Amino acid sequence: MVKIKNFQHAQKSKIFDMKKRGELTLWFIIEIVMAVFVAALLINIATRYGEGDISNEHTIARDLAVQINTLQSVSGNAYIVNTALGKYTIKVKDNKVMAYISEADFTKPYYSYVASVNINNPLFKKPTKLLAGKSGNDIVVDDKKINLDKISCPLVKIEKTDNIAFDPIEAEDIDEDLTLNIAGGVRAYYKNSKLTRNEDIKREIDTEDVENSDIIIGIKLGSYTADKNYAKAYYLIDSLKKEESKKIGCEILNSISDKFEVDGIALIPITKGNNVFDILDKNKPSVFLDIGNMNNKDAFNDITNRKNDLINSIKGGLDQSFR
Amino acid sequence: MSIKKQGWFSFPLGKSKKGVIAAEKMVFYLLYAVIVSAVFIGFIMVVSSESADKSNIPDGLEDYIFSRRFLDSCFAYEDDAKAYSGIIDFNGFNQDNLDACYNADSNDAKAFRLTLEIKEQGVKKEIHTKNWESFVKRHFTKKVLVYYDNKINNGELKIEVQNQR
Repeated sequence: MVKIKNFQHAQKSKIFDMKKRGELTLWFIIEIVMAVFVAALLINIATRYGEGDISNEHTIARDLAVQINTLQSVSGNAYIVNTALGKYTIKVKDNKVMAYISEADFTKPYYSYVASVNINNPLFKKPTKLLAGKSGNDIVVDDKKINLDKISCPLVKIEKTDNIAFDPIEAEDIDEDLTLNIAGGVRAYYKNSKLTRNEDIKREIDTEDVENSDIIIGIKLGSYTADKNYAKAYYLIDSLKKEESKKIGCEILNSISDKFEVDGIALIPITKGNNVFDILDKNKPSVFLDIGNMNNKDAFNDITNRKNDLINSIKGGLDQSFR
Repeated sequence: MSIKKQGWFSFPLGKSKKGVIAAEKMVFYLLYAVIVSAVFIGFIMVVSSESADKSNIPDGLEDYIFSRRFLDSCFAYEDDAKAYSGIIDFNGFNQDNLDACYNADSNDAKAFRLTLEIKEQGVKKEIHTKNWESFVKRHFTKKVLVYYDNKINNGELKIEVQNQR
């Protein structure tokens, strides 16, 4: 019996020793893996340091962050072109700029900026050039181009509403259906909105429709002899809702200039007196849009062929003014 | 006869030499891991800090950039025709405009406290960024033009700064 017990004990000890040896071997392997990992990282860091990559990453990220902060101080529109960015990927996200070669690199530097940056895609992989600019209220970072036509809009808050009156206004020698279609197209996005004229653009409008609306937007396609192509928004200079009217007009113009080639955009203060502007009401946000020049062949074709883009631009600008 | 319970963190109570060696090795590996990690992290911090120093922003440049933002952009006086860079609109010098113009919630960005005063008129206003905490790192004062009471006045803008962390 004792022999059996001793035998069992010996067996157990043997198994225990084997287990222990296995565990020690495992630790040894872990040690080797760790050593290789640490050595590889140190070599990688030393190489990058030696080649100047770490300094370059810091410099690129810092420069771009400083540029963004500086552009926010500019009162007009401006842009800066960055070149010689080499092999670095640049990420502009969450108020931080990062420059790196590998996303997995956990030592990649970042620099903070304080600005509202309008950016479609925050990642620029090995860009040959990178533009940082200010256009209107927006700071833009892009590797292609920056629209410098935008104007700065007031920061006033406008309560969101879909109770809007759209007034398509007749212009000489222009197919009135086109204006009606554009105004009708925008109106369709806002449930409680009204179109002041449905079929006949020349008919008198129902003033009650206009009076009961929260916002009024007149829409006219431009027609003038000069070959230029402008987009303009008029507002009443003595309006009690002047800042709100300016903001709506400004955001719509900026949105149009983003999608259409225009020679310029303008936000114009006016006084009442001209029949065309009768629709404007000084007690509520109201703006009169005069878009394009239908006597300019290119502008005419652009608006006729891209009617939906124009509708979406007006809608986009209007929505932006509620933000 | 004694069967001793042994494990990773239990030292043998008896005289098992093998057990003592295993425990010693365990301690060695743990210390090894801690020391290597600390050296590694230290190395990265030194390299990173030295690289950051090489591309340091000159002293005062950021303060200058942000002070221009407050003067030329955030609170610039404007009428229907244009905005006047360098002239502060006293009515526009308020918390809402500052938050819209310098929207920093975290300590990753510099924090500012601004005090605008027109001594002749006896008016003073103080606002600060959202990430402002109660201590002051440094401050400087600028002579500014201020639109107040329908005219341009001479005023002073005191800018207090806290660095980012």
